[in-house]
Amino acid sequence: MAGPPAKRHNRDKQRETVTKDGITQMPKKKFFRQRAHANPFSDHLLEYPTSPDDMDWSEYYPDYVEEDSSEADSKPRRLRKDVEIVDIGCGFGGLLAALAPILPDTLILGLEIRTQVTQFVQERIRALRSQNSDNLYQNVGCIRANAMKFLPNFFKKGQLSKIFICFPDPHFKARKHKARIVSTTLNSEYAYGLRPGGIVYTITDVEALHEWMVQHLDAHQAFERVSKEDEEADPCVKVMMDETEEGKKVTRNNGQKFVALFRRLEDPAW
Amino acid sequence: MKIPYNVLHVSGNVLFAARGGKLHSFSLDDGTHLSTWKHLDVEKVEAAVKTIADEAASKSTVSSALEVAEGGGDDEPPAKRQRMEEPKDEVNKTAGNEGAQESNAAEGSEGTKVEGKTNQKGKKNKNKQNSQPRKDNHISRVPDRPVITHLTSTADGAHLLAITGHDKVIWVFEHDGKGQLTQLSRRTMPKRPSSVAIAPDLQIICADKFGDVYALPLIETTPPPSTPQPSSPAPGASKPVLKPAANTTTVHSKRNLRALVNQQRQMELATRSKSENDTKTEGPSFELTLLLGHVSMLTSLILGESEGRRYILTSDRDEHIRISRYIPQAYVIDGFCFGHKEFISAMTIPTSRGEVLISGGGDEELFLWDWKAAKLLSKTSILSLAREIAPELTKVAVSGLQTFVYPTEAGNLTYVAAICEGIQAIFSWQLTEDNTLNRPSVIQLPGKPLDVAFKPATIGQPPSVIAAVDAGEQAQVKSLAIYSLIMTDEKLAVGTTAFVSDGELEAEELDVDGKVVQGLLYNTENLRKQPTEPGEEQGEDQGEE
Repeated sequence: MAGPPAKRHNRDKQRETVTKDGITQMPKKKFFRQRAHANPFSDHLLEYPTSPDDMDWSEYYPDYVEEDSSEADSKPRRLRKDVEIVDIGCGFGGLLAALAPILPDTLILGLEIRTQVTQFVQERIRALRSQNSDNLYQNVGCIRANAMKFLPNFFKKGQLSKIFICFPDPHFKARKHKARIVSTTLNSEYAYGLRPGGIVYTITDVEALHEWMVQHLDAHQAFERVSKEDEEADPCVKVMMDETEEGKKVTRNNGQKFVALFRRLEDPAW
Repeated sequence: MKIPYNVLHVSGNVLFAARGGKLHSFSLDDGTHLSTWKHLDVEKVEAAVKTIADEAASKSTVSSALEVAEGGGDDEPPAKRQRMEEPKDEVNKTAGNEGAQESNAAEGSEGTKVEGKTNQKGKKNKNKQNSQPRKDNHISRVPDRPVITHLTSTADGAHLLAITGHDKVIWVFEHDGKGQLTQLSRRTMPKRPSSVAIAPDLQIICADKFGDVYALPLIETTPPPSTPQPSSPAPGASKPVLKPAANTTTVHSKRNLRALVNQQRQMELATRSKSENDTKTEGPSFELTLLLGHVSMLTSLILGESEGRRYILTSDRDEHIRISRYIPQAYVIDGFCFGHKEFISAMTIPTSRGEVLISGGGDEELFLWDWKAAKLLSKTSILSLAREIAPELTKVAVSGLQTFVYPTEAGNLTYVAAICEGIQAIFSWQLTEDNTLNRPSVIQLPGKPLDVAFKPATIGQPPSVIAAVDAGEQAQVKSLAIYSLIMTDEKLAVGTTAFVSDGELEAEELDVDGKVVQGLLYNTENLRKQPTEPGEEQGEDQGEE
């Protein structure tokens, strides 16, 4: 149940972005707490576009909006670039913040199902943009979405080059396995969004889940495992290991981290 | 009232009409009754209803009503008990594919779901019991009523396939072409099937409510394969689980750590007992291949063909129509048809126009697609047509979509027919060459349509539509009628009306409550997403860590 109105009011007040000397301050995590799990099968109150063409990205990437607005007003404004990298279940946005300066010319999007957490990341991005004048962090955004149901509503076939799945909910119980973010059937949707040669990055601290993800991605004919050498050569792997919030937490607790990368193969002729 | 006919299928000159758990066949030439197949549970339900009625009659009204209501609430769900008695119990028990643990859990959850529903009903009854006739209370104690939810046949009509929803079984029959059926197989699916098609290579392609699509051979290979292949790789099932998946570095809170210790203890016990009965880890005892899946309830599945290549088209409750390749590349998604804003419940591809897909559901329009290109061609309002006979309507839920050909001197014309839940009419349009639905017509029915089927035109005879309707309490209205179709200005209208001779069958049917019929046969509108109160949603999500 929702807390008493006073509590909510206080929280909303505390959350109000603090601006000091014209610079937006970082949001505080403690005001954006939410339970760690969300039911991916529930309807929620999600907003999603009817199709990728109906998605209005201008709000999330204002610097990339096409200047030429000759198109009809009813259509959403186009971006100069398409979103290419997706972090599914971005949590508090550690990976987004770390990837933004490394891949400054690529649009990166975090998807998060929990409303409070999404709001935090959006505030965080606003603060980062405000604190860094040199156009940094203009290439990251975050939206609330259920990636298991609605990924194809946001991205066209082959639009993505990288999908990150970092420290997903392990769903330990066997009857909850369908809720896991990697499954043979769901991998078809990742394959649909990824272009051939695109890569799925997975990392987890739960060995059984790592095995599960490897087994299910291996079993999917559209994916092949990336070799250890290539894995080590990929700068994104390092970021994923060290910069994600969960990654830091696992390091603090002396936990193990299991990484697996999978390359999207060309579809066979039909 | 009596359970109305609810699913129809025409195969050659024979009409198959399902009515609850019974499957009747009639000749389409003269309407004579040919044969009847009955689900085992039909008699169980009838017996249960009778016993309860007798019991109740011998006791005083108030006390028995109380007992019944409480019994209904506390008892194990009857459906579950009944399943245990069945000889093919093993199939049920091992239907899950994640090993024994998983399948038990799945069974359990399925069971609790049923129980939840029955309990709810029980509770409701308890609240109202004094004002309601006693008959109503008994329903919660009767085993799940058998319902045939789908009927289809192979193109040559030699095999008929039926699905009973309450026990998730796919039945395959041999059909002699004259209405006589021989049961060939009975296979229990892991989840309740929601749509089915038979491919030309004699594969059954079955979509379920959990979002998965399976393929299984129409004719079971005998003997069944001794090593059933798991339909999806299941790491847990392949090797004995010796330690929990979590460990002290992955869970931290006091409560979770305690749970972990308990889990460890449980697993030690389980591994010890596992060696004794190892047989439980088997998958389903028949060949079953997982083809694809949505993370949403699947509502419809059809097969399409384009340039000699076959495709699987699936629709779900979350407004998606997915185009996947056929076996062996069913893992490749070729595209999505985007545009629906509400659930999709019915799809059809006219045989005469294989490139066009028509879809409908909770939206007020029917959508016409070039499905191969995932391109919307046109939309046609079905709500505005429905308002011609029921002006108060604000929404529709399309429960059936079919196409058929009307031969004329100018050539074959393709028609699309739709029925909507609770609206007493068949709506039809002509599918024009420029891909629009034109020349709308409304054929009014004496009851709410549950299914329609078409009998193709023959020489000298126009096509006919067979409608199964729920006439409610109007006893004089027949549930099944055959209307020959005539054309005026290329719009369809009813010529003559014929009935099947089912007087005896009708007399055999037991009376049921209208609510039971409602619960069993009306479930399209239920697919609509309920608007959640924003506050509720916030509350649901807001629990702090």
